[in-house]
Amino acid sequence: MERKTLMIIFFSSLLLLSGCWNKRELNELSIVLGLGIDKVKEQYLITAQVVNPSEIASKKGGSGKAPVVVYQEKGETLFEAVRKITTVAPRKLYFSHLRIVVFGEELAKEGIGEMIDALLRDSEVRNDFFITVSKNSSAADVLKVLTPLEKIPANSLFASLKASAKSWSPTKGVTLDNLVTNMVSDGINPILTGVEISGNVPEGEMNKNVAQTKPKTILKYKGMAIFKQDKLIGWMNERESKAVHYALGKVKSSVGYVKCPQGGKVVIEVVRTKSKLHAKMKSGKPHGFVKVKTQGNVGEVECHGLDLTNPKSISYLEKESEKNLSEIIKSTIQHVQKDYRSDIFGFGEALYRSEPNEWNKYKNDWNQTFSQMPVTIRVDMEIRQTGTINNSPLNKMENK
Amino acid sequence: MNQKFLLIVSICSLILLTSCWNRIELNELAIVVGMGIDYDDGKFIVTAQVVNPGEIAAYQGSGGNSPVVVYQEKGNTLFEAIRRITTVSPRKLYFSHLRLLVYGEELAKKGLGKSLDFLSRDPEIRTDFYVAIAKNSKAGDILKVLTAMEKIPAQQLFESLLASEKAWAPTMPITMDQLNLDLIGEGINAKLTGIMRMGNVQTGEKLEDLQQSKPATILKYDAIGVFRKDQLVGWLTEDESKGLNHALGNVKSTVVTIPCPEKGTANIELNQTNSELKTEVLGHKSKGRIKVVLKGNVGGVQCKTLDLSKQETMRFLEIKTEKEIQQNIFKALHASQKEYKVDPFGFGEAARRSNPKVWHLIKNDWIQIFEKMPVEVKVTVKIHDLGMIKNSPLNKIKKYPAIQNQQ
Repeated sequence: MERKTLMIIFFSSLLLLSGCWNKRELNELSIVLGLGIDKVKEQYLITAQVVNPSEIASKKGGSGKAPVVVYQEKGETLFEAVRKITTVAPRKLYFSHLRIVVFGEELAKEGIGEMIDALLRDSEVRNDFFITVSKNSSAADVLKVLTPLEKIPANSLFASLKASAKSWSPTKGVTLDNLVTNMVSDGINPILTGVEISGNVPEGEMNKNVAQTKPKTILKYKGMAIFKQDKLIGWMNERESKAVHYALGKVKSSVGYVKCPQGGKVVIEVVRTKSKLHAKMKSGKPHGFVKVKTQGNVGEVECHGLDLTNPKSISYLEKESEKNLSEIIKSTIQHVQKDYRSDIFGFGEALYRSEPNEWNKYKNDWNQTFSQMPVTIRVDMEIRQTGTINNSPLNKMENK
Repeated sequence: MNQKFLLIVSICSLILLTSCWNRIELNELAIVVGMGIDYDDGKFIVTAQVVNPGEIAAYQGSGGNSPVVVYQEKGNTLFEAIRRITTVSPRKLYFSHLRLLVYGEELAKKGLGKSLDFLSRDPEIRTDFYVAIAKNSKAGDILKVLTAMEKIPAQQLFESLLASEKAWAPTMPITMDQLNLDLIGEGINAKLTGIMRMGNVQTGEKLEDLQQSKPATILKYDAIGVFRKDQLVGWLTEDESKGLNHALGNVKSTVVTIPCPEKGTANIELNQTNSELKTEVLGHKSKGRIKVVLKGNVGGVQCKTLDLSKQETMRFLEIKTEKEIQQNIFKALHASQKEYKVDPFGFGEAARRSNPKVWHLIKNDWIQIFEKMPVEVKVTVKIHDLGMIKNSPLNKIKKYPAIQNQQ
């Protein structure tokens, strides 16, 4: 009896203890950090930026090869093209450490919807990478450029987007789930940050590019792309992108300037922003409201004669900032309403939340309604600190 | 009771012990060691020289990348340009370890004023870095050039300025603090050391340039620029710069070359200076007085028949050195009084110190008074030491007729 049980346990454990039958060693993987997707003549062109592990090992110097390798393949579908890369790459591509996905501008104009499914469905792809659109170039070219400071360009792009969204604000790191939610919802449309190549690509892909103090070719985030569902329909400049992020409350920190009473500029460093964006029915029509509350410090004074010890000057600065800010938010909303007719702010969603019954009437043609919707903007600015000095040294210099 | 108390303490401490909520890890920072400010078309151009940590780490080989990275951006204001750099740099710029600030000559001529406020106001920026002006060049181009001995160019420039100030007189390390004081102080004008690029930027910014024993492009300190208010008005020559430094007591050690009674020259190494700069306030007929006391030793003799064992010879050398230094000071005075009409010496400040009441009456006309002010310059040199030998071996080399003459 006892023997029989032992036998059964023994055999059944053979079935269960299968070992690492599906294992893949680290040196059999091509770790993909950047993925570029372009469309070339009805086919997708996939560009994968793969780490070259021996070049970025920390304990020994590199041998002068590029820290990343870029593989490219064409295919009818994303999955097909990715698998086809194994014909050139020595290892199978591994997507779990993906940092950045770049969509080519051309593809984005035609629509990125078809690409999203593969990214969402595959179990290897996580949800912690940023998605951007290449501006004035193909995604492939963006991924070829080598960067200084961070050896791996995809890491550099990821970190730079994070840093600039945190302290400058016309950019934003959009993740996959964020993009998909905004893409499929009726009441909001997605925006993605644009990345631009400054300089030429043949120079940028050589190691020589980073063997000088100021690389000739660099990657730079510039502006935000406006989408209507999955299609790119236009670009916002830096000012407008910032305004959108103010309205959405996504500004962590930024700087802006106001004019001094006597001419010259005062820079306000924004350190905290909260915003409320909602929509209500007002006399039978939807009406949008944006309420922004920001806190800032005096960052720099570039004018004579401003007395910061006087509370009146501070409240003057607060008023001016409020005026400036509400003006750029207003003009940006109007610009988006008139020229793009795409609700990137999410007023539709706000209406759905506040008055779901009314929303049902508008949801089929929301973008049309949005383009004519009046929006009320209120900005509240509070200046808290003036940095390590009070009045500008310029004031004393003038007295000389 | 006790339990209640403990509970309150622990809840309160939850509020107080916020840990490092605002921390930034080292690998999230782009450490800026050099900053350049230029002005173009109504906009600031900021150049940041950022350390590339992977390339300067001690225990691993470098991968052939540049030890520093230079980022450049334009902006309506200085702060804006700095923040905009995050769109190209993977990390946020961190300014606490700034070594050197370089102003472009164009900007310096227009006025430093607008840039000063940010540099003093921002809590991240310390005021212990040196300030220099890019002579005949843009500040951005200076910061692009790589240097050989110190991998980080800003560090090299910092140390080179320190070393040359210690052992060679015509440079002047001015920190941000000092510059601010000079700019806002009454009765004194600002002065900054100039820095020059020898060779072109295109070769200097590449690592290849360091693979030769003598890099084709180097950076060099050169003379002192004087300011009226915040505007650069001109450059002092090497002699004038030396004179200014002697008058201000900035010279720690330097070498003075004086002519021998016959042919040839001798060098005196100076290694101790005391200087006193005073203004005797007599309304519009004020007088200035500069008293410099120096100690030194004979550094080198390049002439024959100089008998250093004799007292008279020493006195002769002392007098010659005094003359030389006095002349430099006069040259500097002439340049500032007549040519540029600014007071980098701070005679005005000395006047304020000695007689604050009268100073208030004359301070508005100070430059006019200073222009015509007679200045008495007294230099005393004491030579203490001859070095390792007494008389020059040249004295003992016998005069043989030159070979060519025999033929």
